[in-house]
Amino acid sequence: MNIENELILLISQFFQKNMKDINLETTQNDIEEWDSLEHIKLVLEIESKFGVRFPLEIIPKLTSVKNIVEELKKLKNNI
Amino acid sequence: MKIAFLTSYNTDLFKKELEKYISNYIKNCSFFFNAYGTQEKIVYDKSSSLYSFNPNIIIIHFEIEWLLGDFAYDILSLAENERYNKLKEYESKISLLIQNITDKLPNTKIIIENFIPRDKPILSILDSNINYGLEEITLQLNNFLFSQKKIYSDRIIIHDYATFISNFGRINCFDYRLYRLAKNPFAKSFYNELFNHYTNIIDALVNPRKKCIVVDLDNTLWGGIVGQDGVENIILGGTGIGEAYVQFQKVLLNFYRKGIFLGICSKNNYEDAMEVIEKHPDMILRKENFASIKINWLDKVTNIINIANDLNISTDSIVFLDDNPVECELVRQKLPEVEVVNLSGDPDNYIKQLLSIRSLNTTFLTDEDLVRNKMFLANEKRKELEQNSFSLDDYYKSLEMKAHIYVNDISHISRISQLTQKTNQFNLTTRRYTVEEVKNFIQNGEYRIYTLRLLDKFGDNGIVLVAIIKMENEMWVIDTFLMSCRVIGRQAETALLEAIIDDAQRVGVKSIIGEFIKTPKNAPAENFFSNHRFTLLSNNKWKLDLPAKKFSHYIKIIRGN
Repeated sequence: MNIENELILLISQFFQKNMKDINLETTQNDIEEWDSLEHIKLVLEIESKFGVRFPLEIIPKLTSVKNIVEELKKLKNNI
Repeated sequence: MKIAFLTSYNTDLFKKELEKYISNYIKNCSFFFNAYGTQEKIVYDKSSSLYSFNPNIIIIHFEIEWLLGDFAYDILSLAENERYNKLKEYESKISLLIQNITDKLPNTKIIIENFIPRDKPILSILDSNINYGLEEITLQLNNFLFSQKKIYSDRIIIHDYATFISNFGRINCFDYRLYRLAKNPFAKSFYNELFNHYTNIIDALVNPRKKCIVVDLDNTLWGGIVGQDGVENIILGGTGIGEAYVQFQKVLLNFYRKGIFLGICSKNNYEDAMEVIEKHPDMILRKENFASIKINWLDKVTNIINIANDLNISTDSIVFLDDNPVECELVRQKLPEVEVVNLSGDPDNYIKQLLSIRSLNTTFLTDEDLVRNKMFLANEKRKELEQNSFSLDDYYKSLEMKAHIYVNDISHISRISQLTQKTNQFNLTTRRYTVEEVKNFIQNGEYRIYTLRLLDKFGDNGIVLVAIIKMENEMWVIDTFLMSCRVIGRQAETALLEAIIDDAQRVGVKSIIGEFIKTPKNAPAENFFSNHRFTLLSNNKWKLDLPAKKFSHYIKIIRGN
């Protein structure tokens, strides 16, 4: 599975949504439960799943699926 | 069980997981967490949600960084004498907080996590070499907590957060990103350890404690197999792994000293193994340290059951340690209630495994704990006498028993609570009471709590019977009547009942009412009422009309000391 699909699966499970309802364009505003607290929990989940660690300044910016994919790819490429 | 957390950090990130974790080990929990930043206000506000929650247990976890504020990161902003004054200020702040909580939550067990800074001090090496640097202030405040514990005795319990964090290393425990974003300093990879730390102390206060550690011998207390290698070739003492076995025995000796029974369950020729135990110069544990020894070729399940019978305890209060996974599996299958620990690695790892057994943790020691193992040895001698006595009456007479009976003696409170928590067999109602609840009974005025201390020619058995009596106008109701299993069959229950009846008759009480609440374990107490001429009313309620005829027994009763 590619990063996009794996991430969409993770996010849909995290917020208990149908996978079809999440896509690359989905943002924090589209998911009601995605508040600031859940945001950090989600980021920590993504870190464990993909074995990465986001820098402090990036964490607040991971507010859309597309952003997260981009940042994940950056970190993955650095390895 | 209502559990409150009062923390200086924000618990929102993990509180759901923490609740779930604790609930795996503690039955029927409900939780309270303060909103971030309200930890101080909530204590001083009489009508706060904390006080209306009225927890059974409160865990106070204030971090040193919160207590000191900006000063924690700018120690040199104050001169030495000002730093000293600050320290005193923090001490008064802590004592005021504790005082408020103890006053407003009189029935709550209060747990205080001690202090450790999250980071190495900013002043680095210098910090320890000026007066009242961050590390010194932290240590002084931790000492202050000890002094508070002495003032409040059993009301507050110090939980050693500082050692816990040191064990893992400060750099592994915290994730500053989470602190910057959500005011939770802990790394996600550390959550489970932290949850375990909190659960340990709650478990120690709430769940029953184990009473006996049963150990294997070969490759457990020493290296090698005595039956094959011979006494002179087993590995014990000296340096290297032989030293590690000695250390493991020393750790077991600590459990012996705090009143945990030790037992041996080993497949060996008795003579071979006893030669090591009695003669090997490096053995730490000797024959007299073991309350029950089963060295034979029977299966370990049978032996463990026999050990439990010898000690008059049930198998669910046993921890079994063995290096052999097959033996461990067998015991796990046949006796799932036994806590089985499969020792692995070297004896230094055995120590880690042993010390991480939650159900062996205790938060206080009673006088009885300190002498339990010695008293047990005396009891073994009594049994020998019993076997040699002509009749039961001769046996009772020959014991020269004396019972000291006390009423509402405040110095017995923690022992009374402990007995209500631990006694399962001779216990008419099996009602469990905390220290605070016992204290309330005594202060209430409507209750009389009797304690009985039994002595005989072999020694002092300590406080072994408790009765809690509710006084209603013309009738006294037995709320609780229990006897420690080590004195069952000595007539002490008759002596205590006689004292209660005497007191009741003296103030004109017309009858004594009792109740038997059956449990899977309290069959030994089943016939107590019928044996003492009570008549059955209904619903397991029994009644004795006063004045009553004297009972016969061989115990000399002494009121008070």
